[in-house]
Amino acid sequence: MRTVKLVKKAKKGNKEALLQLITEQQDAYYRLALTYMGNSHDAMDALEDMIVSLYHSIPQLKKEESFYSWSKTILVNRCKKLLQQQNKIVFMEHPEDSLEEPVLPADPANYFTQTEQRMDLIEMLNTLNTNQQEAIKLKYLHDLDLQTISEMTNVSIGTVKSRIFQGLKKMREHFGGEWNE
Amino acid sequence: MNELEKQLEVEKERLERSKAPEELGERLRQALEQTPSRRKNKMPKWVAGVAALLFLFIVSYNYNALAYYGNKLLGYDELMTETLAQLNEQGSGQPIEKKITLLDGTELYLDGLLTDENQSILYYTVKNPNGISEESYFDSLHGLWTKAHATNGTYSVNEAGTEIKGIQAFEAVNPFTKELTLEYRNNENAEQGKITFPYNPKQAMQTELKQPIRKKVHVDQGNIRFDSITATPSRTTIKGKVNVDNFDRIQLGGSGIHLLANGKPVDMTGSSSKSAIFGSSIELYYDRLPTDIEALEVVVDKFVGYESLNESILLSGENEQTETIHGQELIISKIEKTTEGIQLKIATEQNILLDGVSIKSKGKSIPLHTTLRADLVDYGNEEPYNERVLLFKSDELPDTLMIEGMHYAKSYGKHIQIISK
Repeated sequence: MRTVKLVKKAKKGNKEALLQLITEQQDAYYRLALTYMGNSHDAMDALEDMIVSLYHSIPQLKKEESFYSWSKTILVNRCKKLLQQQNKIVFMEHPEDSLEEPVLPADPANYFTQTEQRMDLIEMLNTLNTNQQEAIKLKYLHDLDLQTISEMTNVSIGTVKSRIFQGLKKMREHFGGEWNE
Repeated sequence: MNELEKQLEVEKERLERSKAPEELGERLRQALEQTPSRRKNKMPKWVAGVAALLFLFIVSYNYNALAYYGNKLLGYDELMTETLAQLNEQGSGQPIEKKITLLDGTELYLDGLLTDENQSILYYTVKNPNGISEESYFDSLHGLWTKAHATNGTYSVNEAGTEIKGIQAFEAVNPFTKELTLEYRNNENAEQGKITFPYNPKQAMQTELKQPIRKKVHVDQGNIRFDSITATPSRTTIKGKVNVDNFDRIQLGGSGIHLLANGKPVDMTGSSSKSAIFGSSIELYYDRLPTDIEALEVVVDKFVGYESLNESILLSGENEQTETIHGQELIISKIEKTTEGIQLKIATEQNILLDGVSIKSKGKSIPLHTTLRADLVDYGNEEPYNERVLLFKSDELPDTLMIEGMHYAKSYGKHIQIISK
């Protein structure tokens, strides 16, 4: 309900309210932008673009309660636009880019096995086509629901489901036994 | 959960450890602050147009406390409509000259009040050298037998963002009240308060014309009853009842009803309707009437109507098929088979609502399941078209589209004489 209240204020042109809405989920926004842009600098540029665009288009938002999925859709679109301008290929081509801020392991003994498995995972994701990758990342890494993903990627829910299913299937097939139960 | 999903889970947790950099908040704030403010405008579009034009010509000064000069308000030029500006020029209305200081140091000046039988208009100024939140609201004016709710308002902010000049309209106040209390809110509603000031009903502007109409106009699905007209210097109001089944099916409302004075249309400034059990009550607002009226009439030019069509349209399957039914353009821009069913994208003028839509494939008729979405889309016409996506529960591409009827803005051209030569 707090969200709805803030959104109503933001709709009236209150910049502070809009800022507060974003700040409350700023980590989620940041991670989403990071997944697309691949580095922190570009991710922050995309977020800046997003907030300006939100400020101008929020009066058109009909359902206050869907502010977060709506704004994330806008963020994804901004990211894609920026990538197009940079002529980059969607999603991080070089997995090591994202290792720029190494995370200290909770359990050092496990650390190397984990890193290795992680590289495998990224390698596997890279075998998929960009649409499948995107759908899987949005669902499993950003915990977004199918409806939101379908809006973000501009395809029907059925298509999203099929991309996820086909993507996971391909990953399992490719890497055979060790990834099955 | 299998191994793959576990790995995705691990990756998600890893990603969740990356937090937004500390500078992000500051950068977002800056980006937002550098964006020019959207100007709020609750008045009709033409008022904004007039205000914008005036804004080009008039440099806005920061007047200090003195807002009235010989009973004339200063500094509101860019906000006032022509009628209001004329009334101000004649020195109508009464000064209030009350000032209060709000908790955050903002100063609120009530400059003047213009009242008549149709509405009350408050002129106010808000000042704060540290910047204004652009959020001071007025709820209502109270007094003896008076509870006048705020209706519409407009304001402008100076470049430095330290001063607002505004005009706020309320419903009419009772002529017996000698004192009015304004309820205000500030600082995102954290602060609420009241200001009371004396009111002199004798300074209310005289009603120029008040007369019952008592005429009914029949339309396709009911009737409109015109009850009365009240013309005051600030506005002309026509009250009535609408008992029409499909009144709210299209957006038109009462905007196709004109008021002609001496044969010339009086500008419409707005309308409102409230629905009740026995039809909706409707109020139509027009500008001030000209002096020396010899003839006055209401014309129901356009109003919602219904046309039975029973039209079947062969679907060519091509992209963008354009049909004309009953003189109205219908654009079928997409037919698509999805996992949920058949989706049909169809666009018409905004004031058209199709009724009883179904599709046929191989002789089998499937009714409309639901409308998935509706958007205004530019099809290269004067006004954007209303484009909707219709969903039918079927998995076969249709060959025919059936339409039983439509609600639309029908030209009635019915005249009611109020004053005749």
